[in-house]
Amino acid sequence: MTSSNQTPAYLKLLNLLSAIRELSPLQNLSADEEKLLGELAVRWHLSEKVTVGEMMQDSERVSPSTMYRRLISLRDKGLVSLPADKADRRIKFVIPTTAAKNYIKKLDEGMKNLMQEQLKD
Amino acid sequence: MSAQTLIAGTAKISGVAIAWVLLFDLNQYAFAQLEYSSRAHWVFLPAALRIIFVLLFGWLGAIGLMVGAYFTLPDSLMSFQFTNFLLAASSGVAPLLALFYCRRFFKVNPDLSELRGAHVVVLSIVCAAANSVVLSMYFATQEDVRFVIEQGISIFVGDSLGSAIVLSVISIGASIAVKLNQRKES
Repeated sequence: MTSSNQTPAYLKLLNLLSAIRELSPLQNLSADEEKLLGELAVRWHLSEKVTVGEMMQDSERVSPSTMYRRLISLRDKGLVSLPADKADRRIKFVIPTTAAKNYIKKLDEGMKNLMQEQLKD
Repeated sequence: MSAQTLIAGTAKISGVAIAWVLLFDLNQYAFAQLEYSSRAHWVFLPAALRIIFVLLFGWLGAIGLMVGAYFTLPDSLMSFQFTNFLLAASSGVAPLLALFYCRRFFKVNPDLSELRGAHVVVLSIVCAAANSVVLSMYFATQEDVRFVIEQGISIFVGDSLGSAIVLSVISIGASIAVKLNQRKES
């Protein structure tokens, strides 16, 4: 473990800003966005390269335009990035950011704790 | 200690002290009517700097806070007063101790990688309480108890509100900056 003095100040600043940013009312996820993030987490776990086009096509309950708006909202909240494919700029991938990975990790820990409590009972 | 380390440390202390003085002046300009006494305000914006700079720079940040706080105390530049020295010291020592125990309780890594927004809120409140208690204990030996209690409450409320305002501004500003950056990249 690095000591406090050895850790670069910019790294601590980034982590501190990330924590403070969680307090922003602009960061709250709607129920639909949470569900979408859950679906994306499953796809990322399967190591699929997820594209915006696939998400728009595969959405059963919402229209493609609504799915696109939700992906943009997740991007604006810093949870995903949408870089274009270098070979074909029309294709955009859905990549999780550190914030999304932390969010999924928290959910995972919550689920594990819940399961442990259930097993104890 | 190398010259580079000394220069870096001095720069951090100076930067923190300057930031404290600037935010103190802004607080005086914006919330002059909310001053309870010369040492207590119902809104005290610089309180947020205690959390930020001690988290970022540790004891160097605490020293910078002490230096900045000393220069903003009344009559501190006219002559040395032990009271002012103690008040300035509490501005750095109280948050340093509060953050030391809170970081261990929340198991925050030295690089702040496990720090969450909720932790920052709790740290703000604990720092405000620590500062209020330390100052009140000192003033209880010299002033009327009722005044000390009222002053202590105003210090706690002022530090808490000041931290809330500054952290809100930073959080909203950072969220907007991320949004603009993401749109630019896409």
